[in-house]
Amino acid sequence: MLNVQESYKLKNLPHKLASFLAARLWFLWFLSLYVGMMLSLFHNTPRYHRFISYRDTFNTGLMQRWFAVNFALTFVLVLLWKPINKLSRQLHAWVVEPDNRYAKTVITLTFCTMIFTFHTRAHFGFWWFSIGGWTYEGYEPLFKPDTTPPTKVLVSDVPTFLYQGIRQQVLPYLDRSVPKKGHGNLLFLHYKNGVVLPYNMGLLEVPFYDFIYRSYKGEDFAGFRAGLLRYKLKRYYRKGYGFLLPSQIAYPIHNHYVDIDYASYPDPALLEKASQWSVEVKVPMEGSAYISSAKLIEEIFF
Amino acid sequence: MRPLGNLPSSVYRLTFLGFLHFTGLVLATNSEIEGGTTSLFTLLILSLSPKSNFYTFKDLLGKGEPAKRSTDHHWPLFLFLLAMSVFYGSAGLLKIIEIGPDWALRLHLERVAPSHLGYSVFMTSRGFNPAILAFLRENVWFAPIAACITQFTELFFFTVLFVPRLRWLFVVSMGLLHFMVFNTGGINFLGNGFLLLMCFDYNALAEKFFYAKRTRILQAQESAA
Repeated sequence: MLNVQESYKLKNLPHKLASFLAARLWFLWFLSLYVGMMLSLFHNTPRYHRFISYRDTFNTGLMQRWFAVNFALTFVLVLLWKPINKLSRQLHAWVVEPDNRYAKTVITLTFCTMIFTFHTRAHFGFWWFSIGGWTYEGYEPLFKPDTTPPTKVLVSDVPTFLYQGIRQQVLPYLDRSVPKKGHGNLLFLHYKNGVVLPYNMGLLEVPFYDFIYRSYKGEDFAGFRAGLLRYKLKRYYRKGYGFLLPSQIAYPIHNHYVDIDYASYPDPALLEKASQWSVEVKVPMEGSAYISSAKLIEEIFF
Repeated sequence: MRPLGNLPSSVYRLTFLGFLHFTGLVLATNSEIEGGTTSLFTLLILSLSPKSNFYTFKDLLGKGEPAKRSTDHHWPLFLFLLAMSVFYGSAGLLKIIEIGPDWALRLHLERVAPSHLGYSVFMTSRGFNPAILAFLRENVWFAPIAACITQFTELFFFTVLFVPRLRWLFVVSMGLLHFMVFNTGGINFLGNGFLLLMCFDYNALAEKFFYAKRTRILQAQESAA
């Protein structure tokens, strides 16, 4: 631990800031609430709404609720003027004590940062206001009851390689009390030697790849997306893993995908194209699931 | 709070800056949700901790000066517990502010189960656990009970600062929350589990489980003598 003199010399400015804020805790709180209210009035966050699939109890917008909360807390703050000022005086007296100034500075600044970030919903990179939750009230089953009579044989105009994208091992967990059908997307890599293999966006090892891909849709960016896929596949082919460790033991990415062993895939130099398919899958009451129709959505050539 | 390492402060500072850089990249892609907040904050605390708070390899080999118990080492731990309390406490408050006070009763995990089970049929799916999803679909009672426990432990997570005996309740509850979110929501916060384990006072636990009996025998021998 640094001694008092050294600590004071080295951390003079942060310590001064900490004692300044500690002495004005009420004002800091008020400022945070005020800035929070202003931001919630003018800050439209449709991107945040996308994650939250619920209808809130009071049927108001997210930002309106934050405005209301901060507005109500401002009144509480006014009512608690005296106790907060007392706390402020105590905190200031504690901060300016000569011993352990460094620790007190860090703790006080952290406490002030937390007050500010909570009320303003500010994201400082290393710290933010945390995440609430979901209710899933609007969620519907992906597979819905199928009223059309089931076919006895596999549908002939569906390419057989598409079945590599269907996980039959999941079927025992589905509710199979009635025949069902559902729609989904499949992704495939096509090699020049005729091999076709499935992949998913876990290959890129990027949290929420769709944020990046949203800006790079269409033919203009097909080369860019192909380059990304080839880059990652090359790493798997040469090293056996995509980043630092094999996927079986590596820490999964934030939004993790079905684990596919890309290390066993052919040489990426043989890549010809990548394709995306929309398929309709039927799940009968017994036996395997089958693809009843398939539509090619996009092809990217390497 | 006595991590081991070579030049630990410098390494923690560099790691913090590197991690922050990656977080910046994630946020730059318009993603508002980022799962590394507690890790980043822990790295920041370790970066700001004085050198005397760290073990060195010399200490480990018994060549350095023997470590002394001191209250100087307490503040980074206090700060860590405070940050964890605010992080989880904010999550509890946000559920009330953003969804409503009845969040726990409106959580419908049995509805998310058939949806995510359907996605699991495709190779392009996120990494859901079909067995756990099937359990949630069949057991409607699970969601409200789990939600009530989660809401309570999030709101009162700050108790870890004052009631060490109850830390296990909050750590286990939040650990289970991250486990369930990983398996049913395809979102990975499992790294928080390791940080939650840092909430325990291992000195006290070691004292209780390994040394208390021996200490009692020694005390009995001393009093007998």
